[in-house]
Amino acid sequence: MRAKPRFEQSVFINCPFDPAYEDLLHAIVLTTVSLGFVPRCALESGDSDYRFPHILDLLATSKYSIHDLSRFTGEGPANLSRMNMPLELGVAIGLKQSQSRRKRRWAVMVPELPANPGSNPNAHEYQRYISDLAGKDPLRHEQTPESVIREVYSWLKTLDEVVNPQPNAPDIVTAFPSFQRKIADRKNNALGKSIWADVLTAALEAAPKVNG
Amino acid sequence: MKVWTDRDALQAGENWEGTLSGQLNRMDAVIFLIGPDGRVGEEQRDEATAVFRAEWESPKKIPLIPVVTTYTDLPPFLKEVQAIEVSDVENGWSEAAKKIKQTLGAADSTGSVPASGENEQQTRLLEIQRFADSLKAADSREKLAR
Repeated sequence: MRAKPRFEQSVFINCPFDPAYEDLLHAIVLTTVSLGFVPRCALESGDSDYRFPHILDLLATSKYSIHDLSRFTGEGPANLSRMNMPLELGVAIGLKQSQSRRKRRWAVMVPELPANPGSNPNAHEYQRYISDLAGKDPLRHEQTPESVIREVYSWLKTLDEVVNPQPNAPDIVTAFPSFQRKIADRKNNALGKSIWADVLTAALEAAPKVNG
Repeated sequence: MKVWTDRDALQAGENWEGTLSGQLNRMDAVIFLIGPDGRVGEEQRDEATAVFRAEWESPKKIPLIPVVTTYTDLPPFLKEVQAIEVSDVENGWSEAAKKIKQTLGAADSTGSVPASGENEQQTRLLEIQRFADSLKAADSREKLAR
């Protein structure tokens, strides 16, 4: 039987799982583990085709969630955009609204894009594709692991269950390349397959440790 | 002390995010006023996130100074500096201002007061390891069953 992480220490990660985003996902995982939280995501369920029931369970059993809305543009010949991430964000917001006693929190991450010519230079680009988030101050990254660590660290640090004391943010940035190497080694040993448990174990090994 | 508050300084229609982050880069400290229910609101936590983001590229640390009207268990991010308690909410604010000034002086010379207490991280990492091990075991069992 699987061990169940505690609700208060679980952070659901809702982000793209494509190769272009992989480094940023790893940045979220390392930061989350370093601050004592358990990153939960759909990859836990392995290869199963229909993951949504598992995702709903993960959202229900995680007090916190991080939703990256990076993939908001159309892709491929049919110019389709991916709706899974906004859908899961909606579920998280609904859970928070309907279960106020559980004190859930969610954070949205968006990429910081160059301003569109002719648009208001003081406005952020995300306000053009998800204007309902105006006033929510999403976490804005520059699509680099360092900027993702900065944003996730700054958010997780304000949560009640963060480990105290915490490792310094620059130490997490420094540990990131070693974390990536550990994942690559484990992936090679698993014949090229990335296993979520291996990613977690690599994060545990690489996370900067605090002395206390 | 020069005081900046978003309520007084922001104009209608102004981009509050940009103004707040611009101001944070110039702040020596941020005072968090915690109400009588002892709760730290979501907006206050969002503002703390903005402070930590501002610190990222700044050479200085911006101390967060909690001011409480009753004893409360503050979240870890507000435990780095000793909280200032104002027990007399009618007349206690001059005394609180003096304490804030003293705290700022101490932060200038020594940086923030390091948190004390046990190392929770080690315990948490062990818990996460147990979870990773159980995922791995479940994965192996699935492979065997195929």
